Order: sequence, then C-alpha cells, then structure tokens
Amino acid sequence: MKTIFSRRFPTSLRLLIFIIISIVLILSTDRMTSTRVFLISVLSPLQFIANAPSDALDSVSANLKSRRTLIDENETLRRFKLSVSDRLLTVEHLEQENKRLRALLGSPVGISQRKLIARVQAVDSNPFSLQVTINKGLNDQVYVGQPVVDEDGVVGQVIEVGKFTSRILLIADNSHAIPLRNQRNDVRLIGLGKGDLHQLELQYVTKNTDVKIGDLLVTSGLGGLYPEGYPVAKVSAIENRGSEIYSLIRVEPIAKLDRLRYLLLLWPKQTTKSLAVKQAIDETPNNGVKVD
Amino acid sequence: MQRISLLARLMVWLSVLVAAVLQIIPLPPFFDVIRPNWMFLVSMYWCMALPHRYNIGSAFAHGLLLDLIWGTTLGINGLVFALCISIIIKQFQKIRSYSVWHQALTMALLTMIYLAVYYFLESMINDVVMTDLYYLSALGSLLFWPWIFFILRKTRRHWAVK
Repeated sequence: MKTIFSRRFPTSLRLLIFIIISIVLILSTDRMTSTRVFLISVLSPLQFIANAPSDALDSVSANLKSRRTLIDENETLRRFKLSVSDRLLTVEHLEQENKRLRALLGSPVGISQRKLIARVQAVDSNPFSLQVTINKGLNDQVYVGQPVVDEDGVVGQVIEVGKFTSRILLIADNSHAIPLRNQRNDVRLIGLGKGDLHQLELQYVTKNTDVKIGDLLVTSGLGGLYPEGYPVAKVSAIENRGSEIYSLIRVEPIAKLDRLRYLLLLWPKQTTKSLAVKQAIDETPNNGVKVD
Repeated sequence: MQRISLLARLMVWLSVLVAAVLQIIPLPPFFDVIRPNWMFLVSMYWCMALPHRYNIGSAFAHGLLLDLIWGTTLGINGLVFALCISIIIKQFQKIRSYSVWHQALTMALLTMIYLAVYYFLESMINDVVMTDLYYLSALGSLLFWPWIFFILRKTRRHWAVK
C-alpha cells in the first residue's frame, strides 16, 4: 500500500498534464487519421461482440419462422420481383436510349457504378451525433466521404474508416448538409440536418421560391460527393414568418433513418460496364449479403 | 508496496472492456435514453476503490477509449473524465464510507457534471444540439451504480486487486 506522502506528482499538476495532453490531441485531430484508423481496427472486435446478442436473436427468429410466414413472404417477394423486373427491363431500354442521346450530344455517358451491400452493426449512443457503424471497411475499399444509400433514398456519408468497420454520418445529423434539387422544377436547395431523424430543414429559401408541400427532393450532384438523382426527402411543412426574407421549410427524409438494416455503398467514380443493377452488385468482391 | 498480479490487472481492463461493449450494445430507443455512461461509472469505481493505483491517468485513458468507440474527437472524453475525477479525487475516502444509495446519488450528480462539461466542450468544437432527454442518462447512473458497485467489489475481492 502506498502512503499519501509518496505521491510523485500532486493532483493539480497531474490534472494539468492531462489537460494539456487532451488539448494537444483535440487540436491535432486532422493529423492523426492514420493512428485513428489503426486504433479503431484494433477495437473493432468490441463492435462485433456488442452486436452478437442481436445477431443471435436475428438468426433465432429467422430459424423459427413458421412455414406459413415463409410461404407468404416468398409470395410477396415473388410478386415484387416480377413488378420490379418489368420496370427494370424498361429502365435498361431507357438507359440505352439515354446513352445514345448523350453520345449524340457529346456529353459524358453515365455508366452504372460499383456498389456494395453493407449491414448496419450499431447505432451510435453518443448523444450529440447521428451515426451508424457498418461492417465494411478499408478491406472493401470504403473511403471517407463515400455516399451511402438504402432502398428508399440517401442515408448519409462515410466519415471514418477502420479496417473492418466504418462509421456513417446520417443526413439528419446537425453537422451535415446535402445539396438538393427539386424534382418538379429543378430549383437548387440545401438540406440541413437538425439532429432529428425525421426532419431536415432547407436553408436560405426565399419566400418567392417555388416549393410546395409534397415536392420530391433529389441529390443535385453539385457537391461532388453524392451522385446525381437519388431521392432524399419530401417537403412536409412550409412556414412563412412575417418580416423574414427566408421561409422555414421542413422536409422529411425518405430513407427510414431510424430503422436502417442493410445499406448500399456507392463508388460514383468506379464504374462498371454492365448496365443491370443485379450484375453490378454481383460483380463486387465478397459482398456478404445475408438473406434473413 | 505490493506488486499487483498480472491477472488482477487484467481483470480491471476486462471490466473496462465490458463497460465499452455495454456502451455500444444496440438498445431500443426507450432504454437508450437512460443508458448510463458505463465507462464513466466503471472508471469511477476503480478510482474510488484503489485511488493510489487508478486516478486521473487511468480515467483519461478510459475517456480516450470512449472517444474511439463513440467516434468523437479524440481527447474530449479523456479531458472530461480527467476533470470529473479531479473534482472528487480528494473525497474518495469519504465517498467510500457512504451507503450504496448515497454513493449512487453522488455518481448521478457527477454524471450530470460530466454531461454538462461534455456538452460545453462539444459545443465549442462542433455544432451540437441537446435533446430534451439529454440529462436522463444521470438517472441511469443512479439506477445502475449499485449493480456496478457490487459486481466490481466482488471482482476486486475475488481477484485480490490491490
């Protein structure tokens, strides 16, 4: 047992030392990315352990599904697939046509991009940010700033990559803004997160701008981060306050940010030659899609 | 001074890692709101039980670990942990003699301080919004402290961590 008198440093000095260390750490955040990647990769087993109970429950519920439910589910999926593949056929035709027209105009041809399916591992419990962790990382060439979508619309972007996991900032986080375009009339807008999963706000929209409730907003592709044309949000409320120049417009994200399961990582700059969506996904290395 | 056995040291780190897992384990939204800050409470326990071995330095290390698993700016939680420990580092002898619920109240109060300082620092670095239920995590600390206390005391005695 140590006596009180044998302490090397008094508490105040010790505290001062650690305060200085943390301030240095905070200020050098940008220079320590590689260290951070390493540390996160080392800690990623924790993430997998934390996720194990819910994974186990998932697999139990998948195994215990009744025959009836499975048949029903199969039936609905079959119908859905039929309707979707019908649309896909026309889309392929349209894409071909679009390509030819673009070639005639001399503008760059939009080719389908590389995609990868990832699974949400954890939703962050940090009180100040809206982030989720996914089970893909540097091993699958995930990069910081990569756009992430789900089956409904845009979800967010990758902000931190480890070797096996990465962290995604949701579009509703209040440090996030996304360039948008109104699909009805091509008006450009900026959607600002407010820290609320069900709501975003449009910034600096003058009162005379043509925005109506129910308008679909898609990515404009202007920031260079998100590829063009992905649905993001629907306008849900417009408030005009007396003397202000700008109106307060609330929009509701289309992707269900509170119940994310599987996400799609996009590589807008890595194009695959094939047109069909199915092939684009199949081509990506070890996509690890689990069918529940 | 007695040498602490490697196993005992390992047990302390294991308890911190378990706290880290509990910190990120997915919970339904209702429980998520009152999820106590496990890392903070476990860190507090070790500092209170063995202040000659675990104090500001170890609290700082635990804070850094929390920063990594939360994805916050590295150093923020380290700083807040170190500050919070330093507030009561002189009172450990006194707090140790309190009844468990009295201790729990102290910890809840300390969690409040932690939350306030954390909010203050985060708002200096990033643009943050505080939700209405932000301070409810202190209630979680109040409810879970007795369990943490008994489990960790049992661990400490069983493995003779000194």
